[in-house]
Amino acid sequence: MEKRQSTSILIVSLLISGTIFVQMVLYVIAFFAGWDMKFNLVDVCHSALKAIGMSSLEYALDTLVIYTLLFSLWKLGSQLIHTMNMTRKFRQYRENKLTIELNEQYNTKKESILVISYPVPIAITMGFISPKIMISTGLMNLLNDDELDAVIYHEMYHKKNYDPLKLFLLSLCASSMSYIPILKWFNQKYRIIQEVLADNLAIEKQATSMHIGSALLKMLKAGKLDSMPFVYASFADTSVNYRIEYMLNPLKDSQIKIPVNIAFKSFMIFSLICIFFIYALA
Amino acid sequence: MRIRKFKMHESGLNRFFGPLEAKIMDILWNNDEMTIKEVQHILEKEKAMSFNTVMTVMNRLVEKGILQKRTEGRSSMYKPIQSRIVFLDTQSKEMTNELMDEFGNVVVSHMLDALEDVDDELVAKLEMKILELKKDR
Repeated sequence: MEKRQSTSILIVSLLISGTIFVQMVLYVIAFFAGWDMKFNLVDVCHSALKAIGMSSLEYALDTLVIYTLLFSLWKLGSQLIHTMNMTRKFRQYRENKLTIELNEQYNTKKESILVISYPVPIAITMGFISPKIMISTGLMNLLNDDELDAVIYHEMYHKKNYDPLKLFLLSLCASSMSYIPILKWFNQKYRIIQEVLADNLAIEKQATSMHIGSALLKMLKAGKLDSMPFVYASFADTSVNYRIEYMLNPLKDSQIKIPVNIAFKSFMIFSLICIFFIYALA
Repeated sequence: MRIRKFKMHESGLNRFFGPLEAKIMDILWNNDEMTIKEVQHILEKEKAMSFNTVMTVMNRLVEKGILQKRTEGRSSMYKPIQSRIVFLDTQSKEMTNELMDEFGNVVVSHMLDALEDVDDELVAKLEMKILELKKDR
């Protein structure tokens, strides 16, 4: 798996959803402002669609626009509120001495690593503009120094790559435009590729897969205990199996192939939506 | 009974209670059932404390559902509803759940995602590989 794959997935996903989103916003503006949009292409398509009698489609289009825009707003608001709540809680749980020590050890800028006093092993990167790595004391107790290094290198890849923001955008597109199935597939695959690439950074830095593999195993075992509830919903697919396969055989070519059926369905739906918009805006 | 605000920067009972509340709870857990006067007497060994202050705090703990109060003759007897061990265990679980509840709602990059789909055969293979790597070192 390569960085090129994840970049392509991100760009295509944002292009598809961006195109639809811009059209929807234009549609709402045109509706409320009485804006008469006249383009040559629009004129051509409008005339063609009117000729085949598709005037009743406007209601379906309105429903789609209202659903997508409101759902996106709701998701965005909900994400902001939950992120603020979590950040506030993390501040309460902050372990000052270890936070300073770890940031000095990794020579980070602007205190990129935050240690929280918490019994459950946690290693996450969160924040859109300036992502931070959160490490719990539970994780520090579970792992040895080399394994902890590996986990921090893994999270540093996510931080450097602004993955929380990118993952949120992909997740927002996939859920608010669930009628385009390829977006859900892109969301899942992007996550898998990024996890493998983050592991790869840890392997490169330590010149062995032993520590990141061992850390993963320990966290998996801890997560299976009832007292360590690692239940993260929202993602149906899991990247763990891909990551283990990569650790077992890093040289194996594991290119992700686009599912033709889903891609074709998505293309048809995308084209239809574009046509409806051109028709409605004309 | 649910503690609404955990003070993670504090240690011991102070994570769940105010300073005086923590002292009173400590006394009651060590002595079982006591009157306000008896609690005040123990507290005063450390620092002068008015009866009304102790009464207010103890009645607040009753309202919170942490202490129970019963009348015996002309005096009221107070005792903790839960033992110290049960209380600390319940609150630790609450603290864990409080933060974990937020995870499902926030998009973050985390080290592990859905565990239920993990392939046990792959995990066994990885364990073997790690053992081999450790032997080679």
